[in-house]
Amino acid sequence: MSGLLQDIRYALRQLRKSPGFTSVAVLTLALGIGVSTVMFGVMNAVLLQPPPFRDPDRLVRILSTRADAMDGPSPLDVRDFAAGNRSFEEMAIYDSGWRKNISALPGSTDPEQQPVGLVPRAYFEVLGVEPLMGRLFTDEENRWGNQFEVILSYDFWQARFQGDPAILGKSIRINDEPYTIIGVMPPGLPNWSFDSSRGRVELWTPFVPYLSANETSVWEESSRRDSFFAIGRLKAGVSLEQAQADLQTIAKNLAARYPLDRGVGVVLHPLQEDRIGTLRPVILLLMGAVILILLIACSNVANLLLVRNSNRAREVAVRVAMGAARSALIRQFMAESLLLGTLGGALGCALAWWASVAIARAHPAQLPQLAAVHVDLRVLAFAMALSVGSSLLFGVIPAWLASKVNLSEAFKESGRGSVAGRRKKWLGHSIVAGEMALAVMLLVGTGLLMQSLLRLQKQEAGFRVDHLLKVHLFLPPVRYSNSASITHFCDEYAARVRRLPGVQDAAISASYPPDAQWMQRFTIVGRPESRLEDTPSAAFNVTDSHYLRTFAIPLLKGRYFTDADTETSVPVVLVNQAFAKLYFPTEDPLGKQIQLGMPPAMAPSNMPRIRFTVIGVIGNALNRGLALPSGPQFVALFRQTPDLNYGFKNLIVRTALAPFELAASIRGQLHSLDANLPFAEVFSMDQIMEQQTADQRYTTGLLALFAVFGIVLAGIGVYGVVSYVVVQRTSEIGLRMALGAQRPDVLWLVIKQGLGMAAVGAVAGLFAAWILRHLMAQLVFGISPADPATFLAAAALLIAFAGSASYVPARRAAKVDPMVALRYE
Amino acid sequence: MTEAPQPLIQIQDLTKVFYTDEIETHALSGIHLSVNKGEYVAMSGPSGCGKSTLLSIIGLLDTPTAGRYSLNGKTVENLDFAERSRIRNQEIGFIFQSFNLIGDLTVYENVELPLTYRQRMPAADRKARVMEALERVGMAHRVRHYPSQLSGGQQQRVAVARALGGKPSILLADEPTGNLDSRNGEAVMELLQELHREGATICMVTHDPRFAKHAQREVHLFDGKVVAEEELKKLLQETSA
Ligand SMILES: Nc1ncnc2c1ncn2[C@@H]1O[C@H](COP(=O)(O)OP(=O)(O)OP(=O)(O)O)[C@@H](O)[C@H]1O
Ligand SMILES: [Mg+2]
Repeated sequence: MSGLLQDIRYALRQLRKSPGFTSVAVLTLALGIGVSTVMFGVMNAVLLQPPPFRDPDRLVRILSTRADAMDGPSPLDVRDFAAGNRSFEEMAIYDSGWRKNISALPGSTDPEQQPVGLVPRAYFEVLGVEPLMGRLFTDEENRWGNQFEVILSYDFWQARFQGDPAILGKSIRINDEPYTIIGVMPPGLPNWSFDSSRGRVELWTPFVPYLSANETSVWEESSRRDSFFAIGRLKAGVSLEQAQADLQTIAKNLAARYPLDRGVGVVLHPLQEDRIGTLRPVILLLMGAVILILLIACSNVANLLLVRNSNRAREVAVRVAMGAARSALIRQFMAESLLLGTLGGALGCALAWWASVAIARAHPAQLPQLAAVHVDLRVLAFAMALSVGSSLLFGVIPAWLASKVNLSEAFKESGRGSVAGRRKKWLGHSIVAGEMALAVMLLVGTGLLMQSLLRLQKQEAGFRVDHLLKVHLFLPPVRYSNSASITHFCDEYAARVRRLPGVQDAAISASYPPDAQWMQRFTIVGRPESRLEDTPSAAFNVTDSHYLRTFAIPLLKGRYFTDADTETSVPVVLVNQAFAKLYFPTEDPLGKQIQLGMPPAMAPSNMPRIRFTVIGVIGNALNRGLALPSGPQFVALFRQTPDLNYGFKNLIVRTALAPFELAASIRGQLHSLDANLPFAEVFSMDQIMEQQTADQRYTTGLLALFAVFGIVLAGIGVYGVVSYVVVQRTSEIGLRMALGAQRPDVLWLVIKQGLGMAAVGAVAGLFAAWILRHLMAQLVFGISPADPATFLAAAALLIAFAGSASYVPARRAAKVDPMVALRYE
Repeated sequence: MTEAPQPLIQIQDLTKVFYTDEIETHALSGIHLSVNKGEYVAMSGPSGCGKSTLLSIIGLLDTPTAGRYSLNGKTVENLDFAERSRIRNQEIGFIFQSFNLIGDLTVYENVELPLTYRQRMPAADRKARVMEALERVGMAHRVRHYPSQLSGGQQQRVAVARALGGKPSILLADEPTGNLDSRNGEAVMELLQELHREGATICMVTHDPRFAKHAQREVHLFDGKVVAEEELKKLLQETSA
């Protein structure tokens, strides 16, 4: 024990004695351990931390499958699953957070929009969360007409009602209808079971799947395929597979009974998995990247130690002569490594703490989980393990080699050029080549992601993206109870906006590119009616007659909508090119007729039977995000689709000025028409398009940062080894110059060394990247994960960088004075 | 029964061959040597004749290619690294030409060094030993100094103290005065002589015939073999002729 203390004391003295070496080593390690710890903190917050629910591993999401597609089940499915299964304690079907207009909040006169979750009591019961105050919804409240009750989140209660203890029984207005506050949920309920792009859900109202009591029977056929969200809690001891088999049996029976359920299966996802599934490859990629950085950092320190220890061969020999056992020698060197590791780890933790605070404060809206990133005990333990682990990693080989002195040579007054020395040099070079390999992998990954991002951003949008402003509207059914009133409001509002100075055009539309949220089943008149389950469906939109001009979507054939297409004229639709190609590959689509919904012979009789005539073919505008080509889409006028003319609308404005300069006047027009409508979700189309790649930009940015760390560290490694070689070969270089070598010869002699290590490393790294290409496959877009150009560019960049890093010591070598150098011998 | 004095070192037919880049160097060939407890032996011979090599083997820093070597009655020519370390630590004290003090350790710590490699030695004992050895060489007043703060002679005296601290059976010195001026050299030689008078066994390599005379016995090496003094002279004359 006292021996160990002595080792540590001696190690401390050694480190103090060479502050240059110590600070480079500690900073290098701090960087490596710091970034690894930050990433582990992210992984801890996002992947490892169980959700704050009772027995979270028994929670599953229930999904329907049809061919390859995944979908939510219908209320009827869940009703039948709940009745027939033997594996679940409870199931709940619910609807994601819809944006609704909220008013009559204390201290605010402006109406605003908030996503409102539509959930039954079972939703909270399945999750195992109980209200902090008040109660959950009753089953009665899940019926049409009884749904005017609301539960608040803790944060909403605190922020908007200042935590009013007498909140229960008070009321707020949602879509202009009064809702009574019946409960407040506890804090920390994460906003994770909803589509996060709609914003954080702070309010819940009952889930009412049917608009009337007898609807279940009327809609039994067609509403079988309405898709919602469903979760369930497994009974204790039931495995996911058992539960899935159980539900599949039920699904099979349903498929036999209802044509619409034919070919529909069911799958269960662990709830936690479902939430992090898409994040996992990204986080694992970044975790892999920081491990590469840590390995590079460790290699650098190992190399520093090799050089340093080789200068201490005499000291080691003396110790051996005094009878030091090899274990004692190794222990002594390891004490130094551990000390370095500990110092680096401590500094790395400080770095990680600082970075975690920064990440938790500023993270992309799509990754709300990052708000939970912090340095906790688990993260600290990880950092500590990392410090010790890396000490072993970078310390063992140098310590082992240092303990293997050749005694009879070490005591010679000049013991140079020994066999052991040559082996150490070879080792140093291989370590740097290894670093280069790791750095090239980082470069390849970054290059691939950057090109994916560029390709995504350069995707042909199919419309003019600039100078567009989007505003979300919701016309509450209480005041806009029918299609005519909705149409009237929309026409009037759009007309007023068009008259504003600086506005070129304006349109009202249910959805907008680059995402079509609305899929619609349809049939083509005259085509033989196929089976019910084969009814096609395509992206659908309802708009006014200005929509296509506002977006500048080109007309390829036929005509646009005009103001002459009214409620009383012939109903018309436009189809996009993809639609025309898929459904009318050989015929002219113009004049063809389309009906919405099921084939008439198979659907309930009260379905509307409007025939729409195709009047034009328009260009493909993005409708499945940036990563997928446009799917088939058809567009109708909302005034001609009274049954599908809902209150959810968007105002799209084509501006001559910067879009936001017009926001105030557009808002003024809204409130002069209806002062109770919130002016919400105001974005420019540029922002919306940028939002599409926010995740990728964040990931790519991080990886690029990591690649910079990696390549700089690797560059330091090359620099260190080449500098050492130059010192070792000073007299040789002097001799060469005495014999007539020119300075460029010397420069090349030295730079060659750095290039050699980089070339060997690059080849190894590219090979490793090629082996690991499948890991990147799900993260890249429009480029092969083994793209040869990217591979070559990464290798070239690295070799150039290594050449530059070698240039500095090479210049020093070229300045060697042959006279001085030779006097050393 | 009369007890024959057990020689401390007994070397029989010892050879050492170095192999470097396909060249064999016969550094020692067929050495017979025995050193008794309390003896003071000087080894001399021309440069490259194998003195240092022999001393390294005696000190268990190196192993012979062939032959037998027993130290204190124990056969030691075939021991592994760890076992040799242990014996070296217990039985042998080294004094080098270039002192070989560790620059980052104080005088005290340098002398303490061999003792720290010894299992289970109480700190108090260690301290007593270190101070005793330093006092013996007259360096006790410099415990907190670093080697660079000492003169060459002082450094060599510290090195002697380090060799003494472990109470070894034998002191091995390879040209201990080689890096010292004559005055300091003589002081170290006197120190060794005193130690010998107090009972230490010493093996010393030296070029200097004056110092060789300090020893009880001189061993002459020539081309890796032990030769008699007259023979050495003859051989030397032959080679210079
Ligand atoms: N590690 C080694 N590898 C190869 N040959 C060696 C090695 N060490 C010593 N020799 C050779 O062995 C022979 C004896 O060397 P040694 O160092 O023992 O001589 P020495 O008598 O001590 O000479 P000096 O008086 O110059 O110190 C020499 O020829 C030397 O070249
Ligand atoms: Mg010698």
